[in-house]
Amino acid sequence: MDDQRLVETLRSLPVPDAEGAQMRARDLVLAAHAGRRPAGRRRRRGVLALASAVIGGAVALSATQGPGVERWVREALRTSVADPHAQPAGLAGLPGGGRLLVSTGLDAWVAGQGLTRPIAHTRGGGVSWSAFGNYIACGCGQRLEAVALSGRVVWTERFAARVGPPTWSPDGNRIAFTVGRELYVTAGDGTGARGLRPAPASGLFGLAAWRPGPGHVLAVRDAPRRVSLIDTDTGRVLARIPLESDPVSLGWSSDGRRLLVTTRRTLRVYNADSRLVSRRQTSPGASITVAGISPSGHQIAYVVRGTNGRLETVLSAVERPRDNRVLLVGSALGGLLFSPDGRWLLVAWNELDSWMFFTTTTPTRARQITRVAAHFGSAEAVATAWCCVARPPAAGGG
Amino acid sequence: MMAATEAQALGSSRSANRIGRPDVLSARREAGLVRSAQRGDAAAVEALFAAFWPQCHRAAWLITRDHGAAEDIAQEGFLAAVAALDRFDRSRRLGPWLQTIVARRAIDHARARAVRREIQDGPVDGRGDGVAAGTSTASRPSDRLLDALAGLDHERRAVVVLRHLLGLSPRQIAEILDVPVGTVNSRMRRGLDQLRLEMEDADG
Repeated sequence: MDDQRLVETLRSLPVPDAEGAQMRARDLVLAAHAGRRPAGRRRRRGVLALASAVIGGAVALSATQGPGVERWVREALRTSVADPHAQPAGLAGLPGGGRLLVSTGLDAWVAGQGLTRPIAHTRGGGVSWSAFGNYIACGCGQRLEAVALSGRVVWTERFAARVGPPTWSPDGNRIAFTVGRELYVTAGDGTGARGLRPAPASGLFGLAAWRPGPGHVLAVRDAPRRVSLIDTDTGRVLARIPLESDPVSLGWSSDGRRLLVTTRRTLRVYNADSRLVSRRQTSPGASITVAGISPSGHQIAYVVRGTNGRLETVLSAVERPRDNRVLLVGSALGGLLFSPDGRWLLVAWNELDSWMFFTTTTPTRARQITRVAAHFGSAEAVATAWCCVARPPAAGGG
Repeated sequence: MMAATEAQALGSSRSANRIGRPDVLSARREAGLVRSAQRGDAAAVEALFAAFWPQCHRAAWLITRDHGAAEDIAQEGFLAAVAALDRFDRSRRLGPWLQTIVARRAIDHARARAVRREIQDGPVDGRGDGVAAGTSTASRPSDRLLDALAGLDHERRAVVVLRHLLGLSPRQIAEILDVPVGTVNSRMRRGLDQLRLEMEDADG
């Protein structure tokens, strides 16, 4: 075969499902183009929106906090609004980079790195990033599915009862989920699903967390007022952590050396041997609604509801209990997420339909993304996971 | 297919050179469409998409040999291009830029799949019929070529596809692969030799 024939043959080979792929991509590309705004306008609007939001935050903070908070607000205002290098507010480039997985109740969306689009119709089911953020696992009715970012369903496994929110292990080789009231673990390709033990929790969202590192160890609420560390490959229980009440969330540092266990009243950080490193307790009458541990394991963030009903987002150093920073005060603060590199903290500020991004270093700086509901066509949009700053090179291979 | 008809309507001028870049739009027409797209004209985006998608998708498929991954890769490449459209320098050609984005991603995919598996790879479609490389019983030249391509390692396959499908020069391929030009030339020579041998074997 000479060069000319090779060229002609390569250019005429029938590509499988070429027309279908083209139509799907065409719709996405046109939608992405329609959703963009000329850069100049976007930047001005972003800065103005940020200014208004931070001023709003300043009012909220200064009304309830002391002079230290007021000083911080002034610093944040000065830094954020006057910053000539501030990124335009928008979902294309998140502060901290990476991509967010967003649930609207009916659909799962991906946002960031130039993409904002729905990728799976979840109908209220839970979703989880794969290890490198190239797939999501979805508990969709009685099916567990892996879906590529294009929306292509890579595999599907059916079960006899409703599949609860899945959680994908950091090495990509296991997925934990519930079927009915039983805890299941399957391989990352959807094969070999097996029941592990009864799961008293109705779902595992926030209540099961894979330990990063070797093996497949799951921290899971497996009984009322108890968290267990289970080697899912052998079924062996490595540790049991008794609690005074049920946990509201579990989270590991990225090196697997620290585990944050949060209940309504306490924040406990354990080391790899399940020994208590740090314990915080809310003041009487206050309760913690959500919490997270930074990838480094040295910071925790939480939202606490005070006796006056106001919510505060607090960033705190694990080793220095007195090192607390109140980032935001409001009446409707939602979830929070650390960026994959730990340098940013996302706080959902629902009363302003905004996501606030705070740096976790000092001095604190803030960024804002407004009109969250409009971005996702839903007032129920919740950022559930933040993945992968250093995205591996493959676009579709894991 | 939509791409072909729209490309023709836009004044398609496929080059007839031996391994030339298969231009589907004249430079002037392309620059006009890019300008319109930057101003928000959806019809211009659609025309550019129709002109460049088929070849980018084909290149991704030939490099990865996985049509699902190829769709994802080409999609991501085009979406990245849309995200960067405002910053695109209109004095450059869009087609090669898009092809480079997609080719890089496809090569990264092929490399990464060899060393890391996040999920079990699905069936990889040499021809999509499960015939293993090197055991070709195909009779059509296109099928035999696909089988022979499947038998190349991904580095050689990428070089052959970039050169003979996209018409990139060895220097451009070297930049994409981040290897010396000499390495590109040797991979090309060995890849083509291997293809010819396997095609001859299949011919009996």
